[in-house]
Amino acid sequence: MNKKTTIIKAFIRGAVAAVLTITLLTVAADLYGPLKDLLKQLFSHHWIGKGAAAIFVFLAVGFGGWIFRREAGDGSAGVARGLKILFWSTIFSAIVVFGFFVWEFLR
Amino acid sequence: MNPALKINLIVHIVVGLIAVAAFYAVLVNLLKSRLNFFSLRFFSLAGVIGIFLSWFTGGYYYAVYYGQAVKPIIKKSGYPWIHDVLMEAKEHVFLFLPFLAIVLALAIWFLESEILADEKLKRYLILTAGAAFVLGLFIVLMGMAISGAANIKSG
Repeated sequence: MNKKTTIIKAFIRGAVAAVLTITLLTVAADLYGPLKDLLKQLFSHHWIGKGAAAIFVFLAVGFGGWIFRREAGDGSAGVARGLKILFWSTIFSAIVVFGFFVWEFLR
Repeated sequence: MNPALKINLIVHIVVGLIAVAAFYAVLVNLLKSRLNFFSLRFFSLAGVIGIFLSWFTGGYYYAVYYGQAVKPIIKKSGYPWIHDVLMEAKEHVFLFLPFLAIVLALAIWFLESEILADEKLKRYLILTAGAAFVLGLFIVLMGMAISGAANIKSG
């Protein structure tokens, strides 16, 4: 097993989870006021709350994947696959966030 | 705006631009047939440091000043969509960049032999660097539009 690729793959998964968490919280907090209020209460500003949640998810998934890694790794192919998922998650999320605020403005 | 906040805003813009330039440098270096890992490591690290500094300085400005002093000006102007669409999208899409920057740097710093041996891995690193650069560039352009809208009304 290549330990380095397994650890980096875990943090790529963490990045995917962080990007999706930011997107989900952005849309959900704007549609559901109590969630935005909760983020404000906990972190003084909803945007700081989203950033803090993303950091937590990134570290939890990254270190979780590192600590509980499986013995059979798939080397650089797994890292490439992880980056592919990260790339498309980022593009999809950017379109969702931008499209959501255009929709909110127009409605 | 007090002088400390002005300096904070200038630092946010400068380090943000440095980060976007670093993502571009990583992208261009990865596109070369002979990879220079000294240069790739330097620029990927510059991207991480730049984007985190830009996050903290921009976050401070946004939480302490923008909402109270700039947002109302833009909302009352003839261009409320500059806040409602551009600023809202900018501040949230920006949050993706630190995570892209970290995984890009981790792969470049620790997977030199794998990147040299695996074309597919190199291709997806190019796409990741490209996504960070293009999103960063859009964020810079949106920032310019936001500053422009605030200055038209307050200038």
